[in-house]
Amino acid sequence: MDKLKRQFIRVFELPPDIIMDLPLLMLVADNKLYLENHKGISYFQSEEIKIKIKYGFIIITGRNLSISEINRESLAVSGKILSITYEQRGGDRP
Amino acid sequence: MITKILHYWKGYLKIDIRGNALGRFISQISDMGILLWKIEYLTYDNYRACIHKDDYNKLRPLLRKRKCQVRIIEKRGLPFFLLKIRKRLFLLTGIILFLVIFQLGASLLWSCEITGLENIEEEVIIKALKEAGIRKGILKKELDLRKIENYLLQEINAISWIDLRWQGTRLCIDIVEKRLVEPVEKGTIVASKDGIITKLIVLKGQAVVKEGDTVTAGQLLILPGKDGEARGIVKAEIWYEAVGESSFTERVIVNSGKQKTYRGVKIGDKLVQLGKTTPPFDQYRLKRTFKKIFEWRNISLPIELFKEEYQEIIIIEMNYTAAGGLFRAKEKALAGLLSQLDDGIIINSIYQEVLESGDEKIRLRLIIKTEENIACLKEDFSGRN
Repeated sequence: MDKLKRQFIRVFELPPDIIMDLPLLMLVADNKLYLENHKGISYFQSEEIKIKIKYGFIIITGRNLSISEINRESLAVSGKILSITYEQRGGDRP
Repeated sequence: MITKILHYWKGYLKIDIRGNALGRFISQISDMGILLWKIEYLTYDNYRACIHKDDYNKLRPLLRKRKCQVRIIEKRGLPFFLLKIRKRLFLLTGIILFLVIFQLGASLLWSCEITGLENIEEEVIIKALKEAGIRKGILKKELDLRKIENYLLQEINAISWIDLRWQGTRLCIDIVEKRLVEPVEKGTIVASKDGIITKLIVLKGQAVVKEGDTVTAGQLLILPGKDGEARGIVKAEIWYEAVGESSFTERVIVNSGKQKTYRGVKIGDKLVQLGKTTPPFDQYRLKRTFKKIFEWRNISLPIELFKEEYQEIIIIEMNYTAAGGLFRAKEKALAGLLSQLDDGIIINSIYQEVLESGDEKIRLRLIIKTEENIACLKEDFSGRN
């Protein structure tokens, strides 16, 4: 099914984050991060936030991190962001 | 900014969340479509977050399932504020009452200010205002200022212009009085200057001179009639004369254009020059300006700076021709004449007469003839001139 979707996207040149439910990140300097299409928070501390996404996690480290907003699709992280790591788990990479 | 206003409008709660695996708990909340914001990490089992007032009750089923504790720390927003105000009903009514009284007080007339009065008594105006319906404490809305203006203009004859306007709760009344023409004063008409009468028009009274008569200043011209008034126009020819003199050689001072400036210090009454002390030119004009160094109120140091400006001058002997000398003498005489004349007098003719014409100087007399009104009212005639 995923393969078909990928084919579909390639042919019609569609944005994959919408069709495939893939994460879309937007980073403002080092103090604000917007993330769409998250699958929930698996771990939250003021130094580290681990966010579940399709096919893995995004791990954000920093100082004084807080989730400034969260709803079903998107979330925003604020604080001093030091690193963003992508951790793949299960499934094919898109 | 807009989201903040929205949160405030809806009302929100600051909550403390306690329990295990709080990250997943938050994910579950957001999965339910509930918005959380400002999530802060306090300890591993204690988070703090904000939630809308209406969403709080939706958490209950989840809390029972997860055995998490949620505690409200603070209530913020408009709904809570209104609730608080409802508890303080008296404060609210006080504020409203204050505003009402303020508005009411501002819409009343409290005082009047009349300006521009010279001869009319203020009480006359005040009385007329009262008749027009103006009194303290009347509602401003009830007064038609234009109508009152017209009423006052009709009532008081001596007013030529009036303007009423509001300045807050004060009614400002600007008045311009009529200038009443002064009645003709009684007395006789006498001559103000020496001259020969050319025209005599008697409007009131009886003339004692006739056209062609030579009169001297102060001489009686027109006697009053039965009512004691004398009026008339008496035109007379009047001579003025002046003598002008000019020599054919004259010394003229001319600036050469060269200039030097020295500076110095004045201590007390002593002048101390800096640099050169001798004047730079043989003939010069000196301009000295002082400048105080320190001055505050009436305290000043006795030390002043000064500047000396030397301007070189050259003295030239100028020779005039006969015509030039004549012209200069005439100019001087004319200047002397014009200072004697009053404004607006028409000069009829000018004569000139050379008195002395030598090698060195020329003298001439200038006579001008004018025609002017010499009628002058002399009050309180006692029978003598």
